[in-house]
Amino acid sequence: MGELTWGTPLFFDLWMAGMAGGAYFAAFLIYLFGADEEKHLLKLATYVGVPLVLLGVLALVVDLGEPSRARNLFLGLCPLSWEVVSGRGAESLRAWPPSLVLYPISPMSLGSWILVVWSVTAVALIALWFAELVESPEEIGGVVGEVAYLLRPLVPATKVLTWIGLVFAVLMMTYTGVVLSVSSRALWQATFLVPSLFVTSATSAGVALLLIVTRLMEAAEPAAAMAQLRRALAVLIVMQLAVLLGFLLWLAAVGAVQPLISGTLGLFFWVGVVLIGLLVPLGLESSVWRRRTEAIEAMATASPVLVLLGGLVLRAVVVIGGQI
Amino acid sequence: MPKAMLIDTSKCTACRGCQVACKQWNDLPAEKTRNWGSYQNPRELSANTWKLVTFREIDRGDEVKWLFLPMQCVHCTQASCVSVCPTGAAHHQGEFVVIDQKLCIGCGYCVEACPFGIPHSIPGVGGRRKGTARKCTFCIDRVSNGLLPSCAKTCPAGAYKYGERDELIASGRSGVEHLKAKGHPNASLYGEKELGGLHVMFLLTEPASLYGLPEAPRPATSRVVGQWLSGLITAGIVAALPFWLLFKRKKELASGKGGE
Repeated sequence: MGELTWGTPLFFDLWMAGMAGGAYFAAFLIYLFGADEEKHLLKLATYVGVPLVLLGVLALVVDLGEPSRARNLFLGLCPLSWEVVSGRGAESLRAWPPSLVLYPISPMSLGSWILVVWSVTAVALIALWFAELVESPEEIGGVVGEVAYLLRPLVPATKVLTWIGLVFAVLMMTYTGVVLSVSSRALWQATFLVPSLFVTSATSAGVALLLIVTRLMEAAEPAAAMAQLRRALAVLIVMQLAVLLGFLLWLAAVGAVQPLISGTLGLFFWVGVVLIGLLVPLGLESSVWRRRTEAIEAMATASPVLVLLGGLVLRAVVVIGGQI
Repeated sequence: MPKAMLIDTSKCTACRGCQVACKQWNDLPAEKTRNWGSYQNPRELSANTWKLVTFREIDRGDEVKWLFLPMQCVHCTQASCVSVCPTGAAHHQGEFVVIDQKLCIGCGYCVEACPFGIPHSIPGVGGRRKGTARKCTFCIDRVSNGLLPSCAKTCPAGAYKYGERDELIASGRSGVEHLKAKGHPNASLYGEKELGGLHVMFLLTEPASLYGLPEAPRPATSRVVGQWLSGLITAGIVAALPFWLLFKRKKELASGKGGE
């Protein structure tokens, strides 16, 4: 195996961003289709998602060696124009003023903006949800109280913002796959299923995250809602297995499957992704459906953790396998 | 008229003078190398080796054929590095592809996207990737001042031709006929049409794959729309379905419409 261009920081970021997007996506849909009380799941997904995305981005920025270089992803030395977008404009370099940089055809350029827009939207939502609770500036006191009170007229915008958050959460999950599949590495680009696989994995990881956080916070969640969420996780695992099977068959048909399923990486794939990340949690969840014994219930609490681990190993083996 | 280079591999003697000239002109440091069982040295292109003569042995049963290829950036018209670069650092200057070191952030996307595996990131301390991506510039500083690229200038075997691309294509085509007549039935001109036309073309005596060149290279971004759609459709239909199935019913129950 040669030196890896993309290593731990990248698959860590893909995992974190995917999980954050998946949690928001799942929570939004539950709120949309379900009862109004489930809005707090959406809030939970947003609170947890922001630090996850920021941590992932931080890992990438630190990996650049010179963190200040990350500025070039967003602020250029050349004006944003169609000429720049389509034909690159390094000839028209100018020092000041800096302008926004966006190359829509580059998944990394687009992805960087997606992460920023989702994070800003999520932070705005958190601020407005907070402001919604503040009846008067004195209630909280200090600058925070004043700002929260000033934000109150903007509270009706939360509905639009949650929809914007949904759009960018979906884009965020998808970007984590597209950034790999737009390349010349056989494992990543030979099929159209890497984004598909990462989206199903991100959604199941998102649901798993919601289950874990709800449990940790000992939130007064209705048991019925939690049971539904666990059923959703089981269905998502089945869907992920189906997409994974399609991915493997497609890869095998074009002769690019070996790096993923053989050798040390293959061991991680079969044990870490398929067995621990998918089959064991699925077995546990379906056992809960069939026989509600205490022992099975207790074991099943581990299944969301296994799903999260499986998601991380999936990204690791796909990122590394593509570079072998 | 776009300029280009044609490298006749049948004339290459693998002296590696082009490799040395490239190092000298671009002030690139030497690599720490070791014997890995081939005259190809160093083993691979890198951020400090922009030109490499590759050696490939083809076993033909009763004879072993040695294929030499002076490999470098081929300066594609549809350059994947340019398309995927998130900062605009990799860009075309005229017909040539260069990476602006002021804009490059060292993300390594061009390294992953190039179908020829050309750009490389400067290794950091302890082998960790910390540097910007670098590759052949077509000696743009020489060419824009009316000089030949350093590799072409130094070749003692006359394997390099630099000039108008159209003229080089015509020359390459007649070269193919000449090679076929001289007992190389698989001779071909590589780079005339690949990726919208390469600006470094090769006259080959054997199929491109035997030289380690991709037979039908595709720009990394050729299926970008399909890849985005794959993820978005999955999210919109496959991933959303369980929530609709499991939670829709709950809302109906809550509102009393789907009662017992």
